[in-house]
Amino acid sequence: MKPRLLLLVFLTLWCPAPIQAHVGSPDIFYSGMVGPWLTRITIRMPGVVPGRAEILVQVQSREPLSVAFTPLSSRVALSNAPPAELAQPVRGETNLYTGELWLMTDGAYSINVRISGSAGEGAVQIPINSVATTQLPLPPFLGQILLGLGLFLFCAGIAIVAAAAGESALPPGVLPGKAEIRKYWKAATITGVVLVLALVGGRRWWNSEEKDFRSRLREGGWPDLAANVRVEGSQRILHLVLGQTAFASYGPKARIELATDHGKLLHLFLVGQPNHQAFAHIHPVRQGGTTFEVALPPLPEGDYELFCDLTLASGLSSTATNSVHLPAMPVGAAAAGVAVSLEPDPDDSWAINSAAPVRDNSGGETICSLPGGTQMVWETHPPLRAQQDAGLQFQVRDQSGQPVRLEPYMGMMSHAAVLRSDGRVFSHLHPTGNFSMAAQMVFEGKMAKETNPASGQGAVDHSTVDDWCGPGAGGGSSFISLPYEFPTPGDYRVWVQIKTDGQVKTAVFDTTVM
Amino acid sequence: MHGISESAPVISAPPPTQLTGSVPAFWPALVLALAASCITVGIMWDISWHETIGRDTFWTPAHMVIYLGGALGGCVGGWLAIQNTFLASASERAATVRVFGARAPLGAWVAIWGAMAMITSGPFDNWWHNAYGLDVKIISPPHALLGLGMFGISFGALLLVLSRQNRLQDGAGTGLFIWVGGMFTVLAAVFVMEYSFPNMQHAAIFYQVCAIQFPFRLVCLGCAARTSWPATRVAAVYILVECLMVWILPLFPAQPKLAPIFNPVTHMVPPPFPLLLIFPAMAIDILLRQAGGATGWKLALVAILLGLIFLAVFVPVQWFFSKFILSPYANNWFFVGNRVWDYSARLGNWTTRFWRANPSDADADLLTLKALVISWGLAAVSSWLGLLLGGWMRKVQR
Repeated sequence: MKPRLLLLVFLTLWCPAPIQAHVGSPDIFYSGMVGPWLTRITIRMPGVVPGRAEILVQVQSREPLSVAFTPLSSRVALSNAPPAELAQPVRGETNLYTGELWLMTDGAYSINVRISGSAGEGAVQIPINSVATTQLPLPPFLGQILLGLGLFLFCAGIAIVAAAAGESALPPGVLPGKAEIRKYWKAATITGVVLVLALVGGRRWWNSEEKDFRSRLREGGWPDLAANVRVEGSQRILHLVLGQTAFASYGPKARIELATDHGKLLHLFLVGQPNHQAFAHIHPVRQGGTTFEVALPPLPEGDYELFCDLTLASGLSSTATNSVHLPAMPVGAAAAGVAVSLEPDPDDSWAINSAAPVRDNSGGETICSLPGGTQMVWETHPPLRAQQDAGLQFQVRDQSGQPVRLEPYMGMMSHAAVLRSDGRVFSHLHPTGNFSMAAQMVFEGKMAKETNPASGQGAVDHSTVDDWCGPGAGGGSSFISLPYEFPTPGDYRVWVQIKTDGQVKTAVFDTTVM
Repeated sequence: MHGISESAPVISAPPPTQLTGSVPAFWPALVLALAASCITVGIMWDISWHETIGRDTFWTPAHMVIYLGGALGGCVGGWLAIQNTFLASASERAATVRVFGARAPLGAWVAIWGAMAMITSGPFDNWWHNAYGLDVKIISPPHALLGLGMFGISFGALLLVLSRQNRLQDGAGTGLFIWVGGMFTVLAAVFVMEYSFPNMQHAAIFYQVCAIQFPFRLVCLGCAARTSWPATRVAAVYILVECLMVWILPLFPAQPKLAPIFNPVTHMVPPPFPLLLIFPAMAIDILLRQAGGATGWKLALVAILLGLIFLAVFVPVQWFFSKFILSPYANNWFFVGNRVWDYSARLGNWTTRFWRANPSDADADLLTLKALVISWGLAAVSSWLGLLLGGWMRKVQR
């Protein structure tokens, strides 16, 4: 097979595929206090394992600071962690530091970011998932370069072996005779055949490596999620089975061990199809090892996409996805007063055209009206670009334009969800960032246990402490800041949930990212 | 140089001819030998770097040494091509071969090809890292191309020395030939390192891989050299270079910079103690001396015997020596028995056990009679190819 044909085969194999992790948004953002400094941290995840994570730390301080990173694996004792890696200040910036860390194995990691200066010292754990999420295509220009070089090696290999057979054994000055010329062409032919066979073998080898890589690739949602709805009395019960395929090797009685996030095992988002007109954020409860159920809120009949956030006990977080059809509400039975079989979670929330989506206006404030006369204002920000700070800053006002005091909703001043119009990007955001707080708690517990085993102290569950309002927001503030960068260009819908007067309200914005 | 004791060639060389070309310069072979040495040392250093520190960049010292080897090989080969194509006298050009209309000694062309293969593997390997992960395995397609390039440069150095020796019918440059031959063998050993840990030396795959790699090289070099005990000398260089790396690398303090660290090493991790190739090499030399002038089916018979004798010596030597290496008696600076584990190894009993050697293991690969016969077949084919290549190398004059 000719190299060009081989390359075409390879290029076909590596056609660009969407980056999928959480879903399609692998980078991690943190905003909060690290010691005495308000800090924003961005971790750009490699798409492969082993790979290099790039870390950017922006500290609100003009004094020179020491910033260091340490990668901590959930499977390794802290005493075996590598020495901290010192971040380097970015030239021309006074408060921006950068560095990179190598992540060598699959699994849950935490990046320990430590900052020290004259005002003190502080550290934060930022959990990340070290998993292969990207199927990198071969860039065309690189393909052309490799093709050219490969062609040269192919032809030169044949020419050199032919010259070796035809001329090399002749004494200097002796011209090749018929016998040598025959040897020349024979060697050229054999070498050509050998090289073609080598290329075919190389292709098989490459395909085998590709297959092995794809078996470890976590594209889209993970683990697999089976979903169906049954009607029981006045309720529609959503029945979920997690990891039927992913955890099949553990047997039918396997139990998926999960860490609680904001006091819940699962955070399930339902988004109505086709226009994303209905939205719900609900919390299924465990019914078995891998089965969970939840009573559905009064969402209209139709098809829904499911995005199920979970954190394994190891600290590995993920989003499982699927779609499901919701039947119509059992009106007759409800009217008959049939008892409910599954109590809804008090923190479940939903929105059905309660706030029509508002088109983001990057040149000025964008206002979304909420029930009760409340307004959520997306503050003025520059046009949104992929992989740049999205400036997701909001203020909540009342009818008269006065700031509204926000109440914590599951320990946060806000929960937000971001969905690209094609459903290939989904992310669950908080004012602290888009990482799993349950995973953060897992690592803080591990650190506390290993550094001081006698104390018996674990980590503080930030997510269930209602007075922990998230840095940068301030308790009772009307402002919300969500650190995030949209991963790819496209049309996005953003749902921002807040709680005022004891009610959860959901603002809906549409925006375009370039 | 005259009066050396030569091993008898299995394939006879042409009679001495009246030289019409000038005596080729010695320095290109010397520089190519240096290039091959840089590559060999660099690759072993780089593997130790990955096992100890883990993290590397384009600019690590080990990488620099490898690049230096590639650059020297490419530059020397390129210069010889330019010089012989455009600047040389007719008699100098008469001692070269033609490729794509240009002229240079065959060794120069092979070195150029090797350098180009190494250059090609650079962007290919970089992309591979980004696509599939950083150095997940030693043996990957871009590393195979890199290995071919390294092979090309070291083989080019051998050919340059040989063409000079064969034209002058003397032993000038024999030391250089043996040295480069040793590097050639070290490179082969590095490429099969994943299969040749002492713990693997009771498994069939180890002997099969070695049967493919080593008879070919030892026989080929044994046939081509113009000195006594050539394969033995080459094997001695292999052992010397490997031992120097085994002893020198752990002198340098280093610590891992990657997680997870299961084995917090404090110094550069050495490779395992080398294979005792010197013993099968001696047997090969003896047999080659006895089997002079074989052609046709007799050559095939010699190859079968070479394969047999290689295994007859190699299997018992490594079988028992590996037992010693895994014993507490070898856990010292000289034999580095249990000191070869990288930072990511979870140390345990498995480090001193033989792998795949227990019939109850799911991946058991026992050295059965059938496995030995397969190994013999592989060693025979490897030896036959070595005889053919070595016979041709003995005749190379350009």
